[in-house]
Amino acid sequence: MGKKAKTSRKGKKAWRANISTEDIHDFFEKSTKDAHSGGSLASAPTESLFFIDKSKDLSVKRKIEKKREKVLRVDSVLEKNPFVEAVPSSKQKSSKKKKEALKAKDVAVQDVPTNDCVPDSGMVPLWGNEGQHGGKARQVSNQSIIPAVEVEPPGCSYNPSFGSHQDSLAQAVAEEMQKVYKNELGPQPVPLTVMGEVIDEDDKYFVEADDGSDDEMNEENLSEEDPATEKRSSKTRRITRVELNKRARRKELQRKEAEAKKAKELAKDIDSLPDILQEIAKEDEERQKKHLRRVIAKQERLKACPPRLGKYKFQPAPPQVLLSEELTGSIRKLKGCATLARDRFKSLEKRGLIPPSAKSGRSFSLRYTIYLVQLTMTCGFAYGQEVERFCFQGSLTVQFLLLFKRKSWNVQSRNFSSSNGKDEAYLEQEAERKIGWLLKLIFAGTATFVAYQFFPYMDERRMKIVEIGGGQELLNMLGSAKDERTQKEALKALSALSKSDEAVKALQSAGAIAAIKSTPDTFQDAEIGTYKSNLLKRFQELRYDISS
Amino acid sequence: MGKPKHYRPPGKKKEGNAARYVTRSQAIKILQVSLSDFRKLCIHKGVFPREPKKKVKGNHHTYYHLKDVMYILHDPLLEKFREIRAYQKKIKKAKAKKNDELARLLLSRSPSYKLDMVIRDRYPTFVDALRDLDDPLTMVHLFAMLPAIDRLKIEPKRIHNCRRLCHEWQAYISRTHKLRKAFVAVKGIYYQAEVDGQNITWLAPHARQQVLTDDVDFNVMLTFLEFYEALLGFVNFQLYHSINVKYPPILDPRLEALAADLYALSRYFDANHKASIQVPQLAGSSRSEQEQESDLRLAQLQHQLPANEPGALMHLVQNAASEIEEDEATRDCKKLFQNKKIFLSREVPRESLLFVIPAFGGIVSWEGDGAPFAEADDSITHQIVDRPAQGHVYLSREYVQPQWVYDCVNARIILPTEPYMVGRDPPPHLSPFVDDEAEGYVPDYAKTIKQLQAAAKSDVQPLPGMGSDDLNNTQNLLAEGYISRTEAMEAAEKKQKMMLLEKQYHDELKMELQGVSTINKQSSAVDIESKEESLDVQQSAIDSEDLSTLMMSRKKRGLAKAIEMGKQRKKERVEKLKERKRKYRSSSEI
Repeated sequence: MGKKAKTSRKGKKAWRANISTEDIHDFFEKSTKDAHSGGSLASAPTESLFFIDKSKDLSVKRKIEKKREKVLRVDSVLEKNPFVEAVPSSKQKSSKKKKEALKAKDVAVQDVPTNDCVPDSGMVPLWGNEGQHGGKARQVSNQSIIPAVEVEPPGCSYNPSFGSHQDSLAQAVAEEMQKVYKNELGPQPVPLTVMGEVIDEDDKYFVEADDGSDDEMNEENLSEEDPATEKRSSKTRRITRVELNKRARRKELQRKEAEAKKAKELAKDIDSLPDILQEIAKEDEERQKKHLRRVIAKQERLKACPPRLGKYKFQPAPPQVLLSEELTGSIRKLKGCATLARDRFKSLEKRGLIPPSAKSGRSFSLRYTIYLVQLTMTCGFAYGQEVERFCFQGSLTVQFLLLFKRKSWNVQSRNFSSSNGKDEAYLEQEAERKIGWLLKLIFAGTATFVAYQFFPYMDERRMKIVEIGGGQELLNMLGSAKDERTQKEALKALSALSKSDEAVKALQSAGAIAAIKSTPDTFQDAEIGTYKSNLLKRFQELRYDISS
Repeated sequence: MGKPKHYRPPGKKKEGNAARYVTRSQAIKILQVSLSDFRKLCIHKGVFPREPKKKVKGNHHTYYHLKDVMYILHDPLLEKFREIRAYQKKIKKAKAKKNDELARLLLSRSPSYKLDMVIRDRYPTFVDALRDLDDPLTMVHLFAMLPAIDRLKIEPKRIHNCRRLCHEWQAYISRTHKLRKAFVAVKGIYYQAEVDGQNITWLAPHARQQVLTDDVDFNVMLTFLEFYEALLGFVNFQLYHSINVKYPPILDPRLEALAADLYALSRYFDANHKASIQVPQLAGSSRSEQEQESDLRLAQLQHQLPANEPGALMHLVQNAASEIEEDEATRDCKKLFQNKKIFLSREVPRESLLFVIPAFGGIVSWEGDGAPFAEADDSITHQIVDRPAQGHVYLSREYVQPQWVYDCVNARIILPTEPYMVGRDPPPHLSPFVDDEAEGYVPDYAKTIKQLQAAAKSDVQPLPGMGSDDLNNTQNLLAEGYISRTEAMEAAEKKQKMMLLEKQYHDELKMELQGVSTINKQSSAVDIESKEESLDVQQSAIDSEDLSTLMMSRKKRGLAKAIEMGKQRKKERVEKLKERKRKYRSSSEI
């Protein structure tokens, strides 16, 4: 066979021969194959491809049960023994069963019908019969060290022994005094009125002008300083080599000096090493002591009051001690504490169960109190004794109001002259603001008068009032009084006092005569005149020189 | 401005106090309840505010531990509270729409909650509950005395419930003779009982008008009371079951109407016991006395009592067991007022004495309807009066002031009635809660009581084989010995000193024996040495103390120091008291 003639490779035919048609052939081949095997798989629907084999199906439930039925060997071994109960592999809900068992037990023990066991109050034995139910206790970490019920010291007994009573009393008084001192030593309250004259409009301008000039001066001073600094900063100068050298030398010198100094100091320190050691030891000791003090103080504090739990500080209730004159030795006559609810509440606060609240003891309006005082004035006698007692205490101020309030409600704990210093101070201020001194003095005068109308035969008590300073106060009041009512009240009180000879004597020495004489006679009120003449007569009787 | 103080970069978790503590408002936000509900939940669940070391949100907030808040969050009570709140809204809506019928219907079906699971959770064992019973008892006793006020939402129903709980508790204590101490103070009467080895102290107010002040938040108090009522109810239940008495006791309505609840309760106990036990031995002598009178009541009570025999047998067994269980103190207490028949006059604190006297085995009656026996009864041994003078006097009995009962109880002996006679100022009423020995200062009257106690003890147990003289002698000795422990302690100290000296002497002797053969002249040196040795002994004691202090942690050391300082202070106080007394004596003599 002869060789094929060589053809040109650049012809159309040659190009055609070079194109591969393999993929087309493949496709045809595949399609024919598919056609032979019964259609392509890709285009076939899923149902035709897969099917659910239902030949060997068990229901799922049955399957699970089958597994459950399987008994562990351990269990099976145990189960064969009729005396051993199989231990369940998992915890089962048996609260119902347990309850029933408990009930059954109760029935056995109690021997009462079942319906009686759960009585109408719906109670079941909470802790079982042995007093345990096997639960875990929740860790309560912040239990207070303060006991829930603090037993009062023996001095607070209704009939205490002398020593312990004095002790408790002293403690109570000390607490009161502490309050008083705190008030006194504390910062002065901002005055409600400022002393001095009112500045009128024109003056104001001057004041402002003055201020302005001052400011200007300051500014000038500042401006004087400023340019100098500016000049210095702006000025730049060439630094010569000589200067640089000088600087370097100087630096070196300084360094050397510093080194020498350091070495010297070190040597000195080394010499004084024992001293330093001692100092350190001392410091350590001091620190330790300080720490100890702090620990102790904290312990003490925790015993007395809770940690700071909220906005407000805990304030303890005053101790309940009987005064010496209140000791009767009889439970019948005992003046018991009427504010136990507050005591309990304070205990809750003290143990830190609730954060302390802001409310203080007095939320009672002052107006109401005054009304009450007036009421008592009019109906008089029931409170006469209190008035007398109060005068005895010698506090002729607004405390009178407090006393009335305290007595009529029996709310305040005990009548120390200031049962709650802060409150009283507050009330006093308020009284000052609301009714002013005038009204207060009128009350005081009336009180004395009322008391001495009811108790006309108590000379030594009258004397006591004068001694304490009541007389002086009344005289002051008389002197400073600007209206007639005040004068009248003061005179009334003085004439009540003047029934005792000693009191008159004391009043005379206090300069009563002059004060009384200086009281102007008025035509509107005849009573002032009568009181005045009465008093003067009294002085005359005792042969005091009126004319002086 | 720089970073804020507690700056936390975004994406970084909170740590330390910031993560552990939340303020109250945060807690409310977490729990999604109102403030009042949160307060209630806290009280019921026993979650209380804490003080973190670093208060992240500022000093004026109240902080709660996050765990505590979560503890509340997981409680079913929270859900219940929400439900109640939703229900309240329904009622409010119905009322606003003037649909009164619906409102009433809703109101009658309003959901309520129970605290039994909470109590069980907080007190896993009964002893835990007993340990925490001081506050509940005091609170319940207080509210039993308070007036019912609508404004403060104090309902009469709750006051009655409190009274009932108090009486039940007192009846149990009195019945089982568990009361140990009683102290009449200005605030009220402090009692201490011992139940299951737990000392439970509570305060019962005097029977006087209580004042409700404005500074007390009664919402809080009532919530506490709610929990305490439930707790005390369960505790009473448990206690009653432990002595085989049905719990909510059914009382004789006549006695209840006469406000003699305590007596009615004691009757109830008697009846319950008698029905179930064939041999009525429990109450001792008091039973035989009361039997005749209680027969009639018994007939009425009979219908509610079970009568099957096996149960009774069980009771018998249990009772025998409980009889054995009784400790010595209980037996002592039971016998104190045995064979004493005490009558209370009108003016004495009846409730308290009706509780105290039976608790110590006495029989008591009072002036009024429903009393067990009248004033004219011949067998009465003591009459308690509290008036300046007694008009009509029976010669067969002694008239004493109420303090006598309390003092007898505290001293555990029958004190001579002479100082407590009518019209006299009784001796001081001493607090039994003060440990005189620890305090170091013993009041005079306590000394006399101690002497009397010693005498009583030796009276009961005379030593065999001794003449009367000897007996007296020993009595005196005993009395002297009992006068005060402080003296005893001093004696002990002396003894120790003597021992030390003796030891020193022995040592010396030994040394001498050793040295006598060899060195005779060095006896003086030996002497010095032995002295040094004795010093050494002391030094070593101090050293050992130091060692123990060294071993302690810093905190503990601080505590120890604090204790020591406290002791020192106490000693100073005692000295001061003594001094004061001496001064008082001398001044009164003058």
